[in-house]
Amino acid sequence: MWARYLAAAMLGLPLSVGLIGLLALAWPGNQEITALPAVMMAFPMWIAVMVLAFVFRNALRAWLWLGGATVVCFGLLYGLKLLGWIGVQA
Amino acid sequence: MRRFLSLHTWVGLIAGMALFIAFYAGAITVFSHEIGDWNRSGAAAATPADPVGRSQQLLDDLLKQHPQAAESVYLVLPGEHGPQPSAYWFEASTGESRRFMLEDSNTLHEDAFGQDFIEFIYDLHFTAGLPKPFGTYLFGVVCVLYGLALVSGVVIYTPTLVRNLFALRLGRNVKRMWQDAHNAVGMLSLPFHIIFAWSGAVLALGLLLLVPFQTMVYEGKLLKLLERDFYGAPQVAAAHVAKPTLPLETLLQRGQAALPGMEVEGISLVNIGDANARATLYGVVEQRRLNQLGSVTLDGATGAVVDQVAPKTMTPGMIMLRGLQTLHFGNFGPDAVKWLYFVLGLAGAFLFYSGNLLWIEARRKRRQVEQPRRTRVMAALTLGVCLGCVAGVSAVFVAGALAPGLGRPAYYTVFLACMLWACLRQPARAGHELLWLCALATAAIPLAGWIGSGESLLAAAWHGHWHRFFVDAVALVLAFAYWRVARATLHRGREGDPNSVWALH
Repeated sequence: MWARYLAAAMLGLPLSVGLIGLLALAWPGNQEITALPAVMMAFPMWIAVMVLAFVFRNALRAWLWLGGATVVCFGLLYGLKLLGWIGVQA
Repeated sequence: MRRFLSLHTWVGLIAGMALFIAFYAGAITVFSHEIGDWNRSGAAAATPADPVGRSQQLLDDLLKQHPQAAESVYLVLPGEHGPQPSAYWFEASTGESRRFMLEDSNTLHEDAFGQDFIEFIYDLHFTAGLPKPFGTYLFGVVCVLYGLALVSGVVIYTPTLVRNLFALRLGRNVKRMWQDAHNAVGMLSLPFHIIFAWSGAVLALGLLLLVPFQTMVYEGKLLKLLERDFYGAPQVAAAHVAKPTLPLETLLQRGQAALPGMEVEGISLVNIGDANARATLYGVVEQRRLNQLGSVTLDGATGAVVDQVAPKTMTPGMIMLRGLQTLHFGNFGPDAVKWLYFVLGLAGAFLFYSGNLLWIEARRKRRQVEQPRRTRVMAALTLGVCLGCVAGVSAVFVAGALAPGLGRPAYYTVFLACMLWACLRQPARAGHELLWLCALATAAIPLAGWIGSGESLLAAAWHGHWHRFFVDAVALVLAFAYWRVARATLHRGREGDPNSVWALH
């Protein structure tokens, strides 16, 4: 059980920042307008991701799924930035 | 399902006691402006004949004695926040805010914020009395755990929702009744709790959460992107060219002209006396929106309007942030909303208290008198923290009336004494005795107010001093409630199942 708690505590914040970051940069429109709502939405996302850790059948799956998703999110975030598909305005 | 039960239990236990303090002190904080009136006396209670002139005098005195304050001052005008103005100097070199007011003899004196009475209770609400900013961040984390407890609680409860929602089984099974009460209060006030978990986290941890976004997503440009949301017009540095700043009277007139109908509550002044001086007037303007915050930024030297923000013209991010804050503070409607928040706040405190009692009762050993150590420890902690907070807050009120300036030490003394008492005594005895202490301390509030101000509860009603009357009357109602709970605890100890921490032997 403690392994799940650890997964929620360790991976919750990175994954939610990665997901929200990816969405925020890919979202159309002026980032001066979208940045603040994105940061505020990170809190409900954080909760949702931590709850996910308790949905998987066992702790190993929780670690693999959440860890994998975190890597994918940041991979996409930096990869698409390099390709120039998404980026920070200003 | 079992996993969510475990999650609900553990985050509930860890966050529950902190949330009890947040909700109990928060329910009282809803009426902070009104309660500020309860023991106000001397110069602080006198309504100045010329509020703007008085504010100008305060500003001039502050700048005379601390010329450095010209960098950044926030003036709170007389009104909602009390009949006297106050000035906050944000000292850039130390990063701290210092507050100044005018004393009886019209001399300037520094008056630290959050040290006494209702301001201390306000701080208690989001720090539990721990030093800032550590206490604030801790409560931010508590809000996140609170969010987890809400989601897992709903997951556990949903399968039996329809059957059980309005069930309150009053019967021989007392634990069943408490479980029903805990579930019903939790489910029926769920929207309120979601808003509080979210807005509490945004208020306490919001700035800290900007950090990972700033570094990992926005490449260090996030604060630049947010400048428009928070400041409207870009910030300007001092020009280091002296140019007199317009008097407050003129600035207020310009602001009223720019945003008609705005009731100005405070003025922020930066670079006073400089060619690049900026004055931002903050106030409320009713535009049939959730939040009523308006602001007008003026060029301090010329009075030209640089920027203005009204509920209808805010950026979406600001609408969301101010909306969450407004829902948190409960200042979006008439007084009925405040009473609703007060009642819901106390109901929330009950939810956390009852949650912890349920945990203890669910883990008792049914066949033996001696109970395991962990349930005794948990019982002692719950009683000490929750009842210590209740008695401590009442002590702050008593000190506020009889010994101004001693509110803070009074709280710590009572709180720590309750903790100690709860740890040393048998839980059933400690619960009964501490509840008696809560009842007595709370009943002492109207008495202390009477001695301190010379006006009794009935006299306050007679004179139409409703703020004093309601504080006294609510204190009596709560004292009665604590007394009843104390009696029930004693009854449980004597008559109830002897195999429990709540039994008296």
